[in-house]
Amino acid sequence: MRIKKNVMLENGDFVSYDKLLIATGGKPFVPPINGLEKKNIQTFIKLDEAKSLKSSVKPNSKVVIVGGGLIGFKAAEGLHELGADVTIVELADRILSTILDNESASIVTKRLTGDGIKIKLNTTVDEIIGDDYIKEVHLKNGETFPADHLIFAIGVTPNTDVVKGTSIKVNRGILVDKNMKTNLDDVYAAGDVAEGYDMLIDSNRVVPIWPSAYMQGETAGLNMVGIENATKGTFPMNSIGYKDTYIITAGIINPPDSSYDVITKADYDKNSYKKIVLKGNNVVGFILINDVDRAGIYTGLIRDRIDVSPFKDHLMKDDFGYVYFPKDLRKSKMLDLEVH
Amino acid sequence: MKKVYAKEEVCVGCKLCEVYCITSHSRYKDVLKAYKFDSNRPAPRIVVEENRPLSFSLQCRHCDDAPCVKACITGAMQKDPVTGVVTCDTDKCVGCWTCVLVCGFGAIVRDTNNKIASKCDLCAESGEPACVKNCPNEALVYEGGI
Ligand SMILES: Cc1cc2nc3c(=O)[nH]c(=O)nc-3n(C[C@H](O)[C@H](O)[C@H](O)COP(=O)(O)OP(=O)(O)OC[C@H]3O[C@@H](n4cnc5c(N)ncnc54)[C@H](O)[C@@H]3O)c2cc1C
Ligand code: SF4
Ligand code: SF4
Repeated sequence: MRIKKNVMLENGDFVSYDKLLIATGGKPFVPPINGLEKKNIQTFIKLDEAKSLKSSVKPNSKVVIVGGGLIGFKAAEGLHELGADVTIVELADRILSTILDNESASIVTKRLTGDGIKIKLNTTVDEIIGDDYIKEVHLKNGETFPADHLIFAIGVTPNTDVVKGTSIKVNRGILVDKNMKTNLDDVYAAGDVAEGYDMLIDSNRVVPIWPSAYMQGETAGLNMVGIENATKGTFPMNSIGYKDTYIITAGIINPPDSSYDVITKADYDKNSYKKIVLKGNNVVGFILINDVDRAGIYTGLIRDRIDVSPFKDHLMKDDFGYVYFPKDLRKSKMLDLEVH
Repeated sequence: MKKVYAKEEVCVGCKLCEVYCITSHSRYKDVLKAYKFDSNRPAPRIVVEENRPLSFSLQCRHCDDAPCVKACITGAMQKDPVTGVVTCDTDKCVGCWTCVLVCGFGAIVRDTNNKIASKCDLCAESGEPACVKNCPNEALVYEGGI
């Protein structure tokens, strides 16, 4: 018997498919706390949200950002530029905890606090107080302070609503193989909704960033039109900044155990910091603060699993580059001698 | 596609390629004027790497599978489907440096003054890369592959 392959739309219509891609992205997570119904409380995901925030925030508005991750960090930058009085509330012991270690976070924190942005760590909101509009925020650590806007930026979760009640396997995200196929034939998933292969941890995980979404979408698309294509896997990588402070990080940046080697270098006058994480002879992660030029060379070493033992001692050099690579590796890359 | 290839054996590290790259992308297409009068003088889109006695000039490889194009969050970075040249549409670029994060050659230069990614365009306007034309030692060649 041929299985009928249809999706049902909200209005009841059916659309048939040969191949189906689920790319519904992520949705912002909002914790269940008291006072959520007050006005001027929002998330920061869509352009419309950013626009409405821009029109309602005035200089000296007191804005609380819940979550000091990537989205909260960028929201803080924009709101500070609008003249708002910004407070970030972060549950972890540092901001940008998924992409920074303590040392780099302290450099970045100093830059933000230097601009008057307040950062409250190791705590989160407990209750939002007010009548119609938000007036105060009460934190778990007992503090209460006035606020007229609050932004939830504590992450996105895969938007798997659309596959609820189907036999499509979901862990945190929709589970996909290296071809981006779900457990059902002809059904694929990619992007923030998918839990795909991460080459560095050698298992599946959700990596909700643009480069991963693009590469997963491309892999899915190729396979869907019959061109066999398996992803080598993605890994976390981020380029983000606050005004004149630049941050580029990738891979494993806080090694989970002592089987990793870590090299660091800091120049506090220049507010620069460099950390490279190695596993055996491979670079598996790095953090660069401010001194971010040519960061991609390290990303390439991770991506291509290059054996760095011949030039390990040069990795930290300010002028690190292809000049320190073994000649055959350098030539194969620079002269297109690689087998693609 | 035709690309610029470095011959490290004959490069002396004089950095004239950088000078002519700047000139080629300056408003003034003249070395002296570019250096003297261009208040917004571009940065070179080439890196001369050196570890004496070795030196060579490195610029965008216009990768087949260009990671910078895939990673660009705005669609500014594009690979021309016909010529294969990878260029940054500076009107769309927001200076997020995601391309810098993924380019395995370290070939993208951050123009922090204009907040745009700057990279080798093979001197698309003039038809022949200025670095190749002006290298006194013929340490750069423009050809279909070595
Ligand atoms: C504020 C912000 C800043 C970011 N900055 C960066 C950055 O600098 N670098 C970076 O790498 N990443 C960044 N990201 C993450 C990046 O945007 C995502 O990883 C990427 O957009 C994921 O692409 P996607 O196609 O999987 O999902 P999305 O881009 O989220 O697209 C999903 C689409 O599906 C639609 N949809 C959802 N459900 C349904 C349904 N049931 N039916 C039909 N349509 C549906 C949605 O409306 C949406 O248009 C940022 C994210 C945010 C929110
Ligand atoms: S900028 Fe880098 S990644 Fe992009 S095409 Fe050039 S060499 Fe390749
Ligand atoms: S810096 Fe510009 S070209 Fe590079 S990824 Fe960002 S928007 Fe794209």
